Amino acid sequence: MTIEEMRAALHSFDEGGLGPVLDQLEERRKKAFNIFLGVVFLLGFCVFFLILEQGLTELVKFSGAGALLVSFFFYRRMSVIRREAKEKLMPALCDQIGLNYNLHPLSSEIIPYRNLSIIPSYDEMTLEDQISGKVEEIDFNLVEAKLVNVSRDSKGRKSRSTVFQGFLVEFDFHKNFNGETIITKDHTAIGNFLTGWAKKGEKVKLEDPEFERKFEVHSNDQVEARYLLTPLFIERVLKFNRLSSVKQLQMAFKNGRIYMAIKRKGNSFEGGSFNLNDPKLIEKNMQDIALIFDMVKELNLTQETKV
Amino acid sequence: MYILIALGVTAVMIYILYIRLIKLRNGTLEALSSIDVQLKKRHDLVPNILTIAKKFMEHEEGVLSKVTQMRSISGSDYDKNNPEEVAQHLEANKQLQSAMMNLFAVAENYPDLKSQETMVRAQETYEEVEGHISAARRFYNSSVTDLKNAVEILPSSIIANMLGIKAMPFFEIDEIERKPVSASDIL
Repeated sequence: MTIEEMRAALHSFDEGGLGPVLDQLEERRKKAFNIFLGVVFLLGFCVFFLILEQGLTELVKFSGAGALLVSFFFYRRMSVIRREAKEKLMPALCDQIGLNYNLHPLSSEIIPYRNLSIIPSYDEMTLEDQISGKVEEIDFNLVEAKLVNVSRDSKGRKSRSTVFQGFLVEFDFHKNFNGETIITKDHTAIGNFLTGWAKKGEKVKLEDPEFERKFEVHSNDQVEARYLLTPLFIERVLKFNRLSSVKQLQMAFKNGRIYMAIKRKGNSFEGGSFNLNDPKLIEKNMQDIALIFDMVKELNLTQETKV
Repeated sequence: MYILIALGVTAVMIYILYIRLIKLRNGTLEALSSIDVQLKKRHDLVPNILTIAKKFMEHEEGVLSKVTQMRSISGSDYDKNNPEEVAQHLEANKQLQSAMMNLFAVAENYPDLKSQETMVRAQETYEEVEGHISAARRFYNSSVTDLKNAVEILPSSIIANMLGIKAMPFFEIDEIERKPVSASDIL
């Protein structure tokens, strides 16, 4: 299937048997929400009555904790329904264009990206939504990752900060090479100097000023790095990096493959929070999948003219 | 005392400039060697292409002999420390590339040759080698720029002059060679 055929197949996605399933899930979501409202109202009324009529003022202390507990149960219930919607929708969408979907990828999928240092260091990670297969005969494997750093303040309180959220994707590359070339975000002169010691290989200075401003290239083979990063390919990387769906791109070439860590805004491939049968939700997931086509097309990964 | 300190600082600065110049010169020589590695690949590949082409292009003696001649000149030994000889070596290789492009353009006129499996594979390999030559050329030119700046800008230019370190020539591709070859222009 060509990219255009895949795009057409994706957009002609007929909900078919999926429509009633999503409708049923939406009914369950509404029911769960109504139960939540009912419980909140009933409990609120009882607490209010007991405080005003019976004078049990100490109940005020527990009402906050009670509200949290009810909200927690409701949240858990909603998460299960959302996950079910996603489990139904994503495999069907991927199947439509001949791709494979796996909700729970192996944690080892992150190892090459960590070894190539194209993702930041992290304390906790979540991997989900693995999509793999071929786009125009190019093998690829994509997982969605969320990496979190955990730090403690002087009082020992934990705080979490997300250091990476986006796609980790690898493609077969059309050139033969043996070395390792890593392209990371440019951290300006001082930042590059401070982080330079941890980088593998020598710094590669390329001719394109815009590329040099945005990225830092390190490689263990100066000639091979330039063989991979031709002026035309550099232009393609810059163009891809400008896409609104891409927040920051870091990439590496190793063992005949190109590895990309694409930082994005928010969570992708989701079942939605409200209106689980909303067509916009399917459209949003289609757009997320279409980024795979953009990668192949913008970076021209299928071409064989070696430029 | 102050004079001694000033002399000491000057000596250290001169030594740093000296180290930098030597590193840049060695870096340029290394880049030149990497070009030669790739040029050698092309040099070894050309006879194979000529052997296949000769079977079909009997009437193109001029085109074939030009390639043979340029291959012979471009493969000659040269002194890597002598910028003039380096320039001649690079120019000869540019001429070989030009002769090869001419050969492929003329070969377009011979459909039997174009469809030959061995020729297709040879041409693919040639394109791959050209890609590596282009990459090595960019690495070399980047090294030459750094060396040229150091040799021409004060105060390192004074040290370079004293040590006889000269800037190396760029390996540039002429504009006409960058353009895709049109067979009709040649025939």
